[in-house]
Amino acid sequence: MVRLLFLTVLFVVTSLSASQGREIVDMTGRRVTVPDTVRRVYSGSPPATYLLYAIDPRLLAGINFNVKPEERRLLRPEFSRLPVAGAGIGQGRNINLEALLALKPDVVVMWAWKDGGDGNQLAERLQKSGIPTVFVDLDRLENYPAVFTFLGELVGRRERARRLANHARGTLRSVAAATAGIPERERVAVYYAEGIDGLATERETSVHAELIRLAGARNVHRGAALDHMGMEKVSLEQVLLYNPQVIVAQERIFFDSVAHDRRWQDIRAVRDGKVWLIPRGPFNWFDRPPSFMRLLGLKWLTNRLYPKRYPIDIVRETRAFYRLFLGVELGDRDLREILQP
Amino acid sequence: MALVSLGLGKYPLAPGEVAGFLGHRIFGWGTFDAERLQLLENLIVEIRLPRIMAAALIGASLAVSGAAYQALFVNPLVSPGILGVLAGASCGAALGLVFLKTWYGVQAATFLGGFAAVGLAMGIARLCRVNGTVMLVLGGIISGAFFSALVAVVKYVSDPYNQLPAIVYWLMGNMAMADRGMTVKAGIPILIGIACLMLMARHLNVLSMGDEEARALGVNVEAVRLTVIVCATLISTLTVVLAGIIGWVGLIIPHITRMITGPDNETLLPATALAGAAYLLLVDDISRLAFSFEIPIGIVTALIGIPFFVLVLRNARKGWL
Repeated sequence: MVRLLFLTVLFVVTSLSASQGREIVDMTGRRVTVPDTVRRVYSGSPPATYLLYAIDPRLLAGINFNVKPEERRLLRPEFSRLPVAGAGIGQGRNINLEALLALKPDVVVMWAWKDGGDGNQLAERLQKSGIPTVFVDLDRLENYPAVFTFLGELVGRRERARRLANHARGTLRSVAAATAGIPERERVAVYYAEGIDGLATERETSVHAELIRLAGARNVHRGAALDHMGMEKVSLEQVLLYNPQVIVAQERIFFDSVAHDRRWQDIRAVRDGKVWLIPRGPFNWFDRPPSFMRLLGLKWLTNRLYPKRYPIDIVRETRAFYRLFLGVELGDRDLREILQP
Repeated sequence: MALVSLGLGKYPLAPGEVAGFLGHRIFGWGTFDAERLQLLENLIVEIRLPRIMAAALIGASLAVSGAAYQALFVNPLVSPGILGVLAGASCGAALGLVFLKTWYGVQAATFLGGFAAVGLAMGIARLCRVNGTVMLVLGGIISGAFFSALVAVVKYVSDPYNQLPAIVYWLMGNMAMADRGMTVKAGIPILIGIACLMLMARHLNVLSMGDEEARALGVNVEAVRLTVIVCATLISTLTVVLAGIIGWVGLIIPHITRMITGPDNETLLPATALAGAAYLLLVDDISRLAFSFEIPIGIVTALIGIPFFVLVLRNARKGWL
């Protein structure tokens, strides 16, 4: 009953709102009518929120989660002050529809990974309140240049988006060229350690472990991803059996403990001191969330795995990336903290 | 059982090799290639053995504290979590995972959380100035609900990418964090706690006749009750410190043991400790081996325990409750 009433109210509101604007085709092929000038955007998940932040921080009408203190230092102060309206990623703070409507976004941008395109419940509800939803395809890092271009069109920041897209394209091309010729038996076996015990991981095809494949390495945990959430539990004996040459660690607790945990000592990566903590700040470079920061993460990982094939100065690259995408000048201390050489 | 579990794991080792290694390790029999010996040492002594010890300790703790509570509250439906200890420990663990950056911090918070919840339950019971167990149970329900709500709050404010999955997984039970040092450190107080509870067995027998009779027989009811609660809280909190939340063991195992040994706590408590240890060992072997990924042990104890329990209840003799 309440829902019916709510829908009725929505319907009335919708019929009152004048529909003008331009028609665009989003990345799932839907035709959407959006306002001529888009000033305020809300995004249903952090990866798309961060993309918009990189294009122009002033566009964001709100953010998905509260900003953590350690992220704050490298972000514009106004980002932390934005209202929080949740995210549509099925866990934690789900989107609060009323909070979202109160932000009055011109457009809502969503990652079309599961129920994108037609028939998405949230999109239909928003449509009823006169807010168009646009889907972008963030399933593969290779799509990011196209996503930058698309969003630039949408919000009228073509020039800025073109620069970012070109940078992204350059990164993907240079890494692909450097890693193309690696023979199968020379590809480094990498284990991606998630969780505080380091015993959760991702399969080869998962979006969460995409960098391992792109960097020309071999993910030891084979097979197709079971779901979008990932974080599959494995046993320590399984990791021993995989015997990876390199471990990339997501959690500091695990990274700090692995060196003096006797149980891990027989694994090649631990023996050779090749357990690497994934750089982060303000956002993670590798995964969780899988964002545009992975473009830099890809350079970092490829360079560490194959320094001869992909010789870059990661310090210089990091400075340039942060300057271009996030508008921050990194000091020496920042760089040391982020890169943990 | 423990020996068989030593031979089981994802890493393929022939049973003969495991037996050979144990013979070499304990009696100095045979010769081994140094590198292979190092690997076996790590697999068997550092990975499997602590886990087996932890599983046995946790199973015994949960079963004994469940049985002791069932006698103390004169109620067969009581489980170790009755005074909110598991909810409190979960809350401590969740807070630790979000705000403290070290594993030791998480463990300390877990430990304090368990005691805080039981303290709150006893405080509520005392506040209402009603002696006896009913008020304690009510206090436990309130305290448990309060701390469960706090866990939900912590989950809500945690970061959904890393912290929330960490909390969720930890609260499903996880045997993988139990390494040798930790198992020994938690094992000693656990064994002391279990021993204390066993020493209280005779008093518990008297208590289950009711407070009046117990007083008439010259038992200091309050002192006994406090001792049992402190010991049970200690050992059940330590199970959470070792391996997160593992449910259903503390309710099912005492029942099944009681059907075999009868209600006398002097035989029931040691028997239930052994049964609990064996049961959790078995469940842990299943959770390690069943699939290519590891199933959180708390899920397995529930999935196996519930149908098994129903079966046992159906075939039970009358009058065992």
